Amino acid sequence: MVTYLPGRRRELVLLALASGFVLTAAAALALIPSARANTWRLSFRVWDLGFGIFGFAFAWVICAAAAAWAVRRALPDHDPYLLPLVYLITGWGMAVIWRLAPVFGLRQTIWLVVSTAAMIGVTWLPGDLRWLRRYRYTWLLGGLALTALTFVFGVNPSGFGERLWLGCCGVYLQPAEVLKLLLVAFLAAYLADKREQLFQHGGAMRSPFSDSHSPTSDFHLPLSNLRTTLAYFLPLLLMWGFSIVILISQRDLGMSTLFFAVFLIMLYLASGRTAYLLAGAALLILGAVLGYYLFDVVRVRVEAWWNPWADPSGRSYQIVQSLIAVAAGGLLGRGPGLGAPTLIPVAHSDFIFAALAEEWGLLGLFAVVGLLGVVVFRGFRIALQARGTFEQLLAGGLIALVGLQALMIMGGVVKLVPLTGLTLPFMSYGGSSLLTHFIMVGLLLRLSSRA
Amino acid sequence: MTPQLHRLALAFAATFFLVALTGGYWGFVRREALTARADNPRRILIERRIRRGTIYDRNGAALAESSGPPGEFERHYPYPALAPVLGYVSAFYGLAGVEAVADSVLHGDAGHDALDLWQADLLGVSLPGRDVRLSIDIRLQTTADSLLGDQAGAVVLLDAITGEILALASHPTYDANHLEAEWPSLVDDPRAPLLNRATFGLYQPGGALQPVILAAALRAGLAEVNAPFLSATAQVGAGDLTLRCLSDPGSQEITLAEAFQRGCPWPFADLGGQLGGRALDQLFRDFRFYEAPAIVIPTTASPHSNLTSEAPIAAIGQGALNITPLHLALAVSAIARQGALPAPHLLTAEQSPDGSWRSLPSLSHPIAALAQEHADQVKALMPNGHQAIALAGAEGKMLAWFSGFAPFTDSRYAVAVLLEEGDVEEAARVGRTLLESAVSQRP
Repeated sequence: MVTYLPGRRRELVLLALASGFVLTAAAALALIPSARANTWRLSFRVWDLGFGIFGFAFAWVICAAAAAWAVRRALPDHDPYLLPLVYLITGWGMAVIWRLAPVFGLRQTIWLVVSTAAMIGVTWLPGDLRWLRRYRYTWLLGGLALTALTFVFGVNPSGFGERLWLGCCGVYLQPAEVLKLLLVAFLAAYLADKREQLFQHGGAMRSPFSDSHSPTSDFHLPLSNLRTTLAYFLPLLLMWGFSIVILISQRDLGMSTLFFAVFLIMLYLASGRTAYLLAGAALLILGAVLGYYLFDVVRVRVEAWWNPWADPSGRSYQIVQSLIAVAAGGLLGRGPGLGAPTLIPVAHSDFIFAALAEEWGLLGLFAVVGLLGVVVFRGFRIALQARGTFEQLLAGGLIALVGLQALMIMGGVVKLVPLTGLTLPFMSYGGSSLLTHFIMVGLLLRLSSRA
Repeated sequence: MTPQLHRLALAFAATFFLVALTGGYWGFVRREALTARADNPRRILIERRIRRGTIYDRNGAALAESSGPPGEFERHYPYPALAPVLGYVSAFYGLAGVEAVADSVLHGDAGHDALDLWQADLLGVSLPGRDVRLSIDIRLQTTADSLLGDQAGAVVLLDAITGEILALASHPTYDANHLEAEWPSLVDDPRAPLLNRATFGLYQPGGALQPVILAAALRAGLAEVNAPFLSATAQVGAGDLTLRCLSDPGSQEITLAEAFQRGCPWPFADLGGQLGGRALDQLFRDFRFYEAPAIVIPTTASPHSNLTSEAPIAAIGQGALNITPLHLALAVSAIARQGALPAPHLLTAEQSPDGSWRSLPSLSHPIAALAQEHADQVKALMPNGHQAIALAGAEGKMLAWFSGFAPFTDSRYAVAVLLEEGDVEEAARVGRTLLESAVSQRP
């Protein structure tokens, strides 16, 4: 049984199972056109598509094998579940993207190669992630600067909509995706260094730059220390406010909500105070209410969520079509390639979850929720077993980021929460998203290794 | 940090579970309601992948057919005026009429065994659509439509023996070939072009009930047609409205037969009073005026109401009873055919999966509404049909009715005409011309 195999074998067996699944899905998709036309006499275009799909499956197998080999070389005792899970979700997502829009399928295949290389690079980098910790302000400022560049040079690859991308030579990058990773790294570094001073105000005044430990007895806040407390919190809040301002001014609702929620979670992880979560939730609701009255984009999303049936052909067209797609799938789905998920707007990106539910049914939907759930579970395990505060905070923050983003977009697609226009981690089309998430997996793999 | 991580992991697990649960709600609990929504384009995509069956008239003329390359089949209606019968297939507005009723056959699903269906579903293959046949004769239908022209109203032509509907016109109507483009204006049009007046328009019957009332009076032994009827030409007040003879009888001393032919209301109010509410109620039941005629497309009937207090008003057709033109065509068939009320019939045959035609029975059975003796006595008084008016609504808008049959001996065709603008002579012209065409063309 798999359970009793050593980690190395376990990872390979799981990867082999994932490969079996993805190759079967690719074979099924390659045969759709003939099934649809009800004939075995295939046109040239049909063969073309078939080759494309097998091409992607081949590239995927190479990437997965290369990653397994390279990561094992660099980190012999890494978490054995993360790679198979992530590659299975990515391969499945790519099969769906190929089925929806072959053009995007080709681009995503190229991004998978790039992302795999980046992930391997992260696991092979020398040192102890100290580079990430030491240059935290540099990383953060760099990320903010990139994001700020979109004010001036921002484009949208589809030609309309919010200009959140930086583009050159046909390649587009969404700096906000990179920024979220850099912010988590910055917060982990900052909170790990200043944890004592930030959250434990007993005893004598200490320099904010000292790393000395102190007994954790006294939680109440003497008035004399108020200024000190503010001084510690200020840079954090400033940095935070700045990034939020950039995002709100760009109308990227999903990303700014995600940032704030991850910020709260990391504050909670570092402090252990539920009060932060409650106060943060109150602030989030306040922000939502203000946003509802101040920003059209928020009002439209909230109204489309609260009562989509009021305007099913207009503003809530996406969500209504998404729900109809889930319903059309039923328990077992229409079968790969046999549904009509292209009817959902931007099915390959924001709504890939609904497109998958139509053709793979509720079973597919449950499987994806389950797979992402296990990824998050492994992430928290890595955080629990990590060595230092920084490592724990980094792992916890990264996995909270993945989990929250997955929940926000999946919840939006099934009308549990308002739609926020995020990508489904590992699954949706989107180069920046795939790259960032693979780098995050690389970091988690590093954190899982004790070598 | 351990307890925080534990709590967070638990919270995430719960939320992931909640997302799965919500997905299950839409995909399982709400599945039927969502996929049946009119804005689910999948239905029409499936339609376009299969060649939907053809709807034929009784002589094999195509009334609705699909053409085009597979995957882009388009539905075409060569006789747009037949829309009240045929209905439509639309991605946005769903199905109506015969297209809706015979959908499973036209679509190709019905009649196959479960294994075939399962296999087809598994392979994503569509079973070929199959054809259906209606009792409509497109030549008579075209005649009826051109006779009705721009007038708001309805015509029903029946085979009085079999109950088969040979022509069914309702004007104004719509062109199902351009439904999507015209829908918003159709819905807002005060002339209600989407309403099938012939089967679903409930109208005040007024004098159109006279043949039926006369037959009942004869049955009850209350009247003799050739005897003079006291104050036969008197006016009748019904609420704020006043009714008088349709054409001036010249003399006040006329027989019941003359009063009937000139459409005088008084004798019928009088006879109604003598018959009483209970007998009238039974009469309306005998003629199935309280039942929606059972043909495949939607029909209606006015609800049953207590007639005892207003028997005279009910007998002149100004009471609570409202009827559709189809009701009247069936009733006049009974007068013409020795009292036998036929069972209406529209969808007469469908193609089986093996390609052979299977004829479909009527959805109801013919019954004897009258004794032959009384039916024949009334029939003899209306060789050229019966004209009538009715006053509708509080302001007394005049409706024109005509009912008739042909040929006189061994009658085969029965017609009912309703014109909302109240031109009695025009209604009679429409009805009589259509009967002549029917007799000469012998569908």
